[in-house]
Amino acid sequence: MKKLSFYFLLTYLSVQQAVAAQSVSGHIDSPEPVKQLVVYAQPEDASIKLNQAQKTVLISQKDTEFHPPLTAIAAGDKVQWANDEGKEIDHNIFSLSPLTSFDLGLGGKGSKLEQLFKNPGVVNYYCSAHKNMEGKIIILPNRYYQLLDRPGDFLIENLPEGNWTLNAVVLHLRYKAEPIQLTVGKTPVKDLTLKIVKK
Amino acid sequence: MKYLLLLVVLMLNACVDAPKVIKGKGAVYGMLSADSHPLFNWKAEHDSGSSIYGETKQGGIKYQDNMVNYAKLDELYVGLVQANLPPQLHHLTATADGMSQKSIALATGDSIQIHNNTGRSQNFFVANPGSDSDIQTFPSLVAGATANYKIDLEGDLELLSEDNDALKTLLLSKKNMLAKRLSSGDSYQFDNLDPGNYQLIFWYWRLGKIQQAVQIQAEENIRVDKVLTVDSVIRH
Repeated sequence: MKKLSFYFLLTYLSVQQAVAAQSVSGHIDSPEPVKQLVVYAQPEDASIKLNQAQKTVLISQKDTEFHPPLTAIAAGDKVQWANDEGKEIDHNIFSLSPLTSFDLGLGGKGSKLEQLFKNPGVVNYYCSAHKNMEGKIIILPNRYYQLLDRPGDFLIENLPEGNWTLNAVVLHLRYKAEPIQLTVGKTPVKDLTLKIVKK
Repeated sequence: MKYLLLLVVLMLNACVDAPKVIKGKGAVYGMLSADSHPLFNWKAEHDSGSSIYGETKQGGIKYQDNMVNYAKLDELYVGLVQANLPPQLHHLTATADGMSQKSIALATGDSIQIHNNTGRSQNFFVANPGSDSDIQTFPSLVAGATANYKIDLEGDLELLSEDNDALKTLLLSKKNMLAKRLSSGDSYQFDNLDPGNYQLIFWYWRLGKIQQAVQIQAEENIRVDKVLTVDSVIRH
């Protein structure tokens, strides 16, 4: 019985090695006006198994601002807004985005309000009571992404082997990324250049 | 408090005059306003008086400087979609701090006249945030110059500058829409309309829009009042 278990373990470990993951890294080549962007990878093969475990991402409400104002999540994740104000201030979180519209009602000091985001896209949200409270959530198709405050080097880790497309959501509406096709194999993919160009 | 509000509403209602009846024509008119979230209003009315809602029992919500004062909003729009409208011209001034208006509702094909008071050249463009391909670029506008830009795109758009993030005006562009800018609580009217079916659009950039179909009959005035709130727009 012990021998059998040992062989099962060996088989399991060899399967794990077959779907080993690698990192993809490189540089964003971008014009000067471009600031925040999200680099992300999308699988081209339906057979690629993705890490799709749901996460809850936190956004704080403090000093009548959202922290951070820009959040990136994967489709299927939840966002939780915590009212971390130092005094009794109510906030209402709502969005009229065509992708996901919601009204989470009123949340007082210490409250936590949640919303699930099922589909990829961009959602703008607001507090209806406070005029400077505006935030943006970028929902990516999966968990293989990196949010950059400005163009520079990027690194996406743990991509399963297979064919992928590397792309970016560029917040400056005048620009877009030129997607790159790539194959993830047994070694890390390095020195890629993702170009940001005018639409 | 409730009776005071009721009285105010009744007084405002009395101020909305119906258009004159024109033979063979009809009209639509009413009042457009915006209001806080209903839960906020409820809490304002029932709060004990120790917080930001404290003065509500003495008559009205006490708005802090950082709050949205819905009673004083002045960029509400009502639009009527009808055929054969001549193109309109809308005006904006760009300064280094931002645009003179947060929003403009217009008909696709209307023009926006921009005066560049930023002290630097600006490259304005219009984009649909939901589409990579919907983008319209304009010739560069040097400092101190004024130019007219025709808007060809339709939808919920953003007028932006390539050179300054602070320069942003949201556009609601709809074919054949005649739009009127109102302050909260203002009355509006579209008269001298041929009988038929029309679409009314009520919009505030932060609260979104409500669309409503209206059927105009000859020698008939239809009254449509609307209050834009977060919940009314989302549940619409």
